[in-house]
Amino acid sequence: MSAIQTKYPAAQAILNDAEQMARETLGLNQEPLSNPSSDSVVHHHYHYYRDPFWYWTPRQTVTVNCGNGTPVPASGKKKDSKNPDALLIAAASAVVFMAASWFIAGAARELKNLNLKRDELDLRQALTVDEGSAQTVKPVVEGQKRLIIHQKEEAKIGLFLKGGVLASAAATGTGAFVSPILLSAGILAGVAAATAMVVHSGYKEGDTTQQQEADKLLASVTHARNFVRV
Amino acid sequence: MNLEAICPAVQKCKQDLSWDVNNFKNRLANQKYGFWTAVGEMTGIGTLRGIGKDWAQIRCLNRTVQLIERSAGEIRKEYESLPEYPNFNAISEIYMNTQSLLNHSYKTFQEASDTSKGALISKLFYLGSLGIMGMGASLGSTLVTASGLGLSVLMGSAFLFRANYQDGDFWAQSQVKNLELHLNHLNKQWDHIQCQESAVPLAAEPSANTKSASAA
Repeated sequence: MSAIQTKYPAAQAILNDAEQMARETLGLNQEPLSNPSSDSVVHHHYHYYRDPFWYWTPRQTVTVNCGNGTPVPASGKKKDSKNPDALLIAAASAVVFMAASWFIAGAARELKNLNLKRDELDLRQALTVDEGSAQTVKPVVEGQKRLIIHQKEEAKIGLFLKGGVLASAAATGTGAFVSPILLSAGILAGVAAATAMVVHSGYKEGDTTQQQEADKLLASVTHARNFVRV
Repeated sequence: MNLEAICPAVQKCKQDLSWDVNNFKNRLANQKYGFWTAVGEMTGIGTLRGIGKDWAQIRCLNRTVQLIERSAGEIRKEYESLPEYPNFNAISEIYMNTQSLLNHSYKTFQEASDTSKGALISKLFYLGSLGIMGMGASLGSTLVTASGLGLSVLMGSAFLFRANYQDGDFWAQSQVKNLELHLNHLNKQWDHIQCQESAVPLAAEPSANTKSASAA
């Protein structure tokens, strides 16, 4: 049993949690750091954070664009539910709708998990104050909070964009039967939302702030462990 | 006396800059422009992702530039209100060195931000010409389609040329190396003065052994 575990069990829990979070963000394995030095700064090449939904994005874009080239029922022509174009558009919209619902559920769960993580962190911090090790874990807790805030911002943007795809798919599907204007608006909004989703996925890849925060967090965990060990 | 207590702004600036320089170094190491990257970025979706990536990089670099500006102001204020210390000359040398490092970093990060802006603009132009071509095709206008095609070939060539130029441009790498060396030098200087500072009280007050020896 290490010194920190016997002295400050709550602090140990915070450090373990922070280390796991930083490693998850950086895409590293879950093994503990081997022989860390007190002032070591973690140097490595970043494993860019990838949106798990990215691999679906091209398919979504294609599905949304499907409506673009599809001939809209000519004005004056009677629009009935047997119209194969309208059925095709509605089927494509339903597929996009279901996929977007699934994505949105995933993004909402991610956001909820981050909120829970934040609450748990506050609780653990309150417990640690009593043990007198607050100063040791303070930078770690601050670093973890910064990382959570960053991840929450990303999750919120992702949720908003996925919501946009969902709404535009619903509008396109409805518009296929009801009104050509709604259909066109739905298609345009869908293209815009899908474009924004693709740009956002690229943005996440290029934004190294999160990796930097995770690196800092990992370094502060190492420092805190060594500080208590000394 | 602890040097961190005397010049906290320098200490903070040193730490922040070391992270930013390390981050920038890793980013440069990762942005190799291979054949498949080029193919990917020439497709519309790949271009969009590239735009997002460049935008994020510009934001990150601008944040660093703002941090440098803020640090420079804080350091200037701290230096102006610095009281007289026995080791004042050495400490003021650290301030001068930090200011010089900040100037150097400012130029490097500003230049890197401009490079990313250029990459973003070239991608936007390429995407725009693709849009013109698509619009011409959907409208059934040969003239607009042909213009879009011509423009996209032109912009695509410029975009590829630019990306490969960026890949072969070693200026940024050398600047990062220089910054690292500068930071290491500052850290060594800091440690040296820290040693001197902690030695000052010992020199001022003789130890118990010295006192007993002089009494004998």
